[in-house]
Amino acid sequence: MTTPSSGDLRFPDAVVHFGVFFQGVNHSTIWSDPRSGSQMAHSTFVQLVRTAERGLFDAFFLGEGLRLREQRGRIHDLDVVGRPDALTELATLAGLTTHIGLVATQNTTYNDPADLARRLASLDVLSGGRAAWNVVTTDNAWTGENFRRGGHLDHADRYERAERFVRTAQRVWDSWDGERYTPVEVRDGFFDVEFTPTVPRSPQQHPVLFQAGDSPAGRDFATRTADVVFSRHGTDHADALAFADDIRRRTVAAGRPEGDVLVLPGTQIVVADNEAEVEEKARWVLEQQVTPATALSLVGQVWGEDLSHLDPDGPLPAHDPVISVVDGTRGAHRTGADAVALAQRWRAEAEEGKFSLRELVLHHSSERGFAGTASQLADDLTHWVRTGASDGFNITPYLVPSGLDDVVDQLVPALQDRGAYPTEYVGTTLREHLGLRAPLTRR
Amino acid sequence: MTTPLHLFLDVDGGGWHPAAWRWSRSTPDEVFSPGRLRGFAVTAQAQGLTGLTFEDSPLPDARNPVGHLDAVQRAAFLAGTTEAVGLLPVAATTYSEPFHVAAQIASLDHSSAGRAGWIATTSPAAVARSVDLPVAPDPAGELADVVHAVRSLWDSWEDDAVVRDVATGRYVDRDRLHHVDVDTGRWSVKGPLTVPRSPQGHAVVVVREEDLRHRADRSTADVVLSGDAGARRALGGPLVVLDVEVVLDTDAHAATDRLAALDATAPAPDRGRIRWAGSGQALAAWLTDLTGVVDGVRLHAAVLDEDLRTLLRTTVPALRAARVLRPPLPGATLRSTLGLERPANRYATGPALVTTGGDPR
Repeated sequence: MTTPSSGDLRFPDAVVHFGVFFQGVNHSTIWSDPRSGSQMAHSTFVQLVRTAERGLFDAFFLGEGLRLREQRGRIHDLDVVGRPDALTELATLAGLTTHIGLVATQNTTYNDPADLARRLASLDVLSGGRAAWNVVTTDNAWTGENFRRGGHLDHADRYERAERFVRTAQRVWDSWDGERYTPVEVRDGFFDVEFTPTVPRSPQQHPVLFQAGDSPAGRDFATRTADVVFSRHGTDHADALAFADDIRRRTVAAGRPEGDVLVLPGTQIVVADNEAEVEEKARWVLEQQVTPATALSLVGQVWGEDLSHLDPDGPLPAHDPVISVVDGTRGAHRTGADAVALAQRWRAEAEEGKFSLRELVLHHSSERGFAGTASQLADDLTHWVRTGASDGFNITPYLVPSGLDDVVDQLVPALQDRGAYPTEYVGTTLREHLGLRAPLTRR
Repeated sequence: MTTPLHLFLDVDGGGWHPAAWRWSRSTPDEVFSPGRLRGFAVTAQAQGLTGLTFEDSPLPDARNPVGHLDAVQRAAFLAGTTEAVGLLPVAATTYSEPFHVAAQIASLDHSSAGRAGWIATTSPAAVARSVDLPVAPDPAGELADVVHAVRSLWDSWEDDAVVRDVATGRYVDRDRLHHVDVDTGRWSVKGPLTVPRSPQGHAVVVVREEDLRHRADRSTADVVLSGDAGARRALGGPLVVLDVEVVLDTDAHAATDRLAALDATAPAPDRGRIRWAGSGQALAAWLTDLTGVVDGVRLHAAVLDEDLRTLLRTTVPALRAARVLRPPLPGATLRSTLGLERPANRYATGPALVTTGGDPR
């Protein structure tokens, strides 16, 4: 537990912003527990979003994947898989909620700006100004096989396309002046479009823009165009602070005020009733997430072969991987890594720590967020936002749909006791909840 | 027992007449208001209508000069706050990504517990410019191909693909997930869909008669929207729903006077639909005569705010009293309300799905 000195607190009045990230496809959702509900049932989404709204969360966030994950030509079968189309589900949730923001992850590679801007604007109007777009890109031909334009962009071009895509969308959103629409014509080498939009502007003018890229190009893209960065730096304070400082530096370099881009890392929060239970509960969560089969599968991704016949409590394979690079088209988070070097490093770590195969994977998976009593967590999260390590968190519940209950019932009141969390929604739009200024093109 | 007549209502913009938005005196904000949309849905459901349709176009159109919100988004917005009425948005096929359309409509079917329909339409060539694609030479052929691809994607998960087998650690049975491998030469889709098979298996696929390549294209449409009351005999297979533009007497004005006044503001184009003007009772009598002739009627109100009042006060109660309407039951799927089979899965590998006879397409 960190005990901050007041000198560390660069933002002494900062409050914690919470979002819920319904990930959908991952091995962090414990589907094997008897308390685990359907990942697709409408009631699951309703229970989660209503819990989040009761807890005054800023946003409910849906991920997107446009092809089911595979390994070596076979569909990955161990994790939760299958989810609704993000914008369609969020439109339904807009009809059942009144305040919470609704964030749709949508890809710029396999959509058209005229069409996507229109659907996002429709959600924004239907929700009374609560829509947001998490802008993501994909460049692999494997996902592209589901779409008419395929996977034709290299890495550099996909951010260029993404930025031009967003600019085109902004022109669509700006085309209605309350009386008439201005025709949009874009001929920029990426897009060659010409049409007159038909959707009016919402109370927050534009959907809020989230961006999730972590590379230097992704960070620059975010600080030039986005309102919020959704990062992976949600576990280690020093790492998060370095990331947030980098975002602030790039924001200023992009000609914007320092605090113009919020940083909301994804994280997991395990709340325990007392200190004795904290470690036990965190360990239980971890072991449910990384089952023996999942451990074998994760190691098999690096070795490039099916290792499901191995003993998860035995050693790592003695031979080197049969691949040189971890496959770049299957959505694994180690995509593109040097497989042989990674395997050698893992074997050295396992030898030093006397880890079995599964213990090594558990060791690598153990740092995915926060665990503590509500009081400890409230201190810790308050410290994070007041030292500038983040502006809040996107929480991935490890159980669905009940996984937010303890956060809302225990952690939120503890944060409120510290003056570090709102006690009511101050506005009705997501832009207001996040304290954001007008859209970039409307200032 | 008489054959029921399924009643649908379109709820796009101010109404079918291009002058509607002036007459409804709604500001653009009011036309787009989520509360207004919800009001239509709650009323239509309470009155026993089979479904709401959501016309759409990404381009400006004369009928609705203030614009449109996306139809799938509007339908989805109502899915959680209704229990019985069908929700049938337009999603065009000509320049769409079939994968996205399949995911959107399947998601609507999940969130509405099986009340989704899909009005698959062709798009005018002008849409090609807005999405930066070449003009399609054969929109009707494209529609048939897209519907085929979408139906294949809807089957790409077998109904029981999610097994949650704790003993082996498997969440899904990968043998019950299928690549669809559709390739038309112009586009291809690999699959499987990212959305599991939905409650109806396939949402109810609705096609306008003019968008069908062949008049009796059994494999494409479950329901055909037609402007011709004789279409059912000609089409044979699918259900036929007659598209009717209505102008009704209100307390203050006769229908014919209203239509003349609307036309004087902005002349209405001929969309190949029957146009009907008169009293609410006369409409009920005419619709009653249509039972057995067509399977359903879709009404387009000239001015939604005005004509809907007459429709709901007069026409619908008369139809209900005559037992012409058979209101959908809460929890029923749109397919079961319409008497349509739940389609068998083309990829089914396991024990055969239970079907209840008939001729599944």
